Amino acid sequence: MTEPVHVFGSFGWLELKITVGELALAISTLAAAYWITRFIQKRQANDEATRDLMIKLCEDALQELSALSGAMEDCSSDCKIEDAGRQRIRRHMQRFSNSVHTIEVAAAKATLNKLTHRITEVKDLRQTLHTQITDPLVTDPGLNPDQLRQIEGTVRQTREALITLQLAIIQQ
Amino acid sequence: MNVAEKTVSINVAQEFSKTPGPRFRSEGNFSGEQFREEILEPKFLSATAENARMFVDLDGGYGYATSFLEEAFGGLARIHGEDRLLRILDLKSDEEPYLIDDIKRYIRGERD
Repeated sequence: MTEPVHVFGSFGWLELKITVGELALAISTLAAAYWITRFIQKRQANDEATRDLMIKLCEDALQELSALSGAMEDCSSDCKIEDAGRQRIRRHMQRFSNSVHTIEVAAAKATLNKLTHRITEVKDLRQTLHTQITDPLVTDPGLNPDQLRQIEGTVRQTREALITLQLAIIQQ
Repeated sequence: MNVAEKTVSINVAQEFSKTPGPRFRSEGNFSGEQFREEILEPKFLSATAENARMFVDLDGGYGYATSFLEEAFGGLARIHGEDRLLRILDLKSDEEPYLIDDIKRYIRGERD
């Protein structure tokens, strides 16, 4: 049985004819192309939103790290820290640590597995910083110049690790 | 009654101190060593004897030094074994959630 042929017109040497089957195939191909394009656009938008969020969380962590470093400046002259100063440093340490934890949670929820080792690097430095800062704070007189110098070195390493993480997110 | 659901609880801020101190008693008050010997280990032994879980609430204080947590939890694991401790231990730290991972690392001896 021959399918009906629709003749759209004849333009010199070009003659447009299409069968019902060809028409159905063309429509289904166009529909599939439309949905695939929409899916890709939506996925790209999601990826971009995830990337923006992760970069923002890294910026937050960098800000908290700067605030922590600033709080450490208060005790750089005589190294003896009053109770209020100890509490301020602990609070900034807690905020910075929580900001790193939030990065880890967000990356896990977004299944950004490629960032795992970069995040682990930041976490390890965060833990080193926690040890370097919190241990002397529970003993008198507080932090000595050697400890302050070590802390400043770890702050620098942590800042670099966070920036490296940001770059990895951008390059994803 | 399901005995596995029994829980022995510890609230560090209420039962020990809101200002936990250093690692050893010789370094100052409210040390990790003191917490382990006076609170954590007796509760652990009680939980083990009763086939119960041990729940430790870390919130409510002014923060923990790394050495306090390592001596308390890592020290307990060194005495009684990490598997025995990890099998029954539940930790809560809404204020500093990263402490839960840190403590598990101390128990596994990954860091001191």
